[in-house]
Amino acid sequence: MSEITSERIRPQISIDAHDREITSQVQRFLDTISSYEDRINVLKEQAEVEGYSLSEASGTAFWNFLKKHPFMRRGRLVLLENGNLRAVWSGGNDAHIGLQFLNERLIQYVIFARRGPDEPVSRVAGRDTMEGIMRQIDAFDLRGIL
Amino acid sequence: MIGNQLPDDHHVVRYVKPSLVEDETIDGGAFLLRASETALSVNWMEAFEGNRQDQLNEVRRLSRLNLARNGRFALLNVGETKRHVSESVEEIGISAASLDPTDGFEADPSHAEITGLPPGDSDEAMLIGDMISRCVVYPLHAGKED
Repeated sequence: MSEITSERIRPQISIDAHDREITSQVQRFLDTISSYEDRINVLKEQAEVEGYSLSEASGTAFWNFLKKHPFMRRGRLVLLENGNLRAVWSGGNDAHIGLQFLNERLIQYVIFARRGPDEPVSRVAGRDTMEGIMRQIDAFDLRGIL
Repeated sequence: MIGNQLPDDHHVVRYVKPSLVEDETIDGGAFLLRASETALSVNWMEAFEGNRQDQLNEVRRLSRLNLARNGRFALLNVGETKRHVSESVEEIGISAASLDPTDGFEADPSHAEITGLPPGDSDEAMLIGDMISRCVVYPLHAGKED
């Protein structure tokens, strides 16, 4: 019988841990999707009472964005009066990302970020493509709050 | 009293529709001008006597909006909001703009306006909206009481 050593079981532990991490990430993604679906249904009902409705283009853009970036935290989601969905993430040190899904091509962003503890808050807003938006977020080193 | 700037230590409330609130947090979309507006409607709390609850009850009683139970009143300190937003917009003002009686509505001495905001569909407006939302004094107050 060969001796069991930590070196022999390490690869298996590592694979198990990797599998568990993947499973857990997929589960988190499914939970996030489900939570967003519930939220969007509530927003649609509220909007109907308030006399407007969810823009189909904005809804499609939102789901496409999630498909492209599946492992993000659940952001706060609201429906603006123009019918567009807007997702917002906040983090420590005044970090803030707001994304309004304008259409299948463009996202409006608002980013607040502090470069250092004693630095003033930088604030920017603009529009970028689905691909370009992550480069905007990376420029402020804020990927971590998503 | 129309056009007079409100004192810095006074407060205004903005009624926010349910679709712009999640997790008892107000989205910056609540502070955007509509296409037909040049100023953002708010209510001046100190126009009424009594404590905060008495003031809010008067705001609710005289409101010309369809207030919803799950809508929220967001409270802002005048000076703090002007100070914070003036980092991005120089001309912001918060002034009294009382409403005369009309169409079955009583006069509303608390009506006030935030002026100097950019057009509501601009990227800058969303940035300013998010800045104002950071000045909201929590907890929020129900649109309608049970």
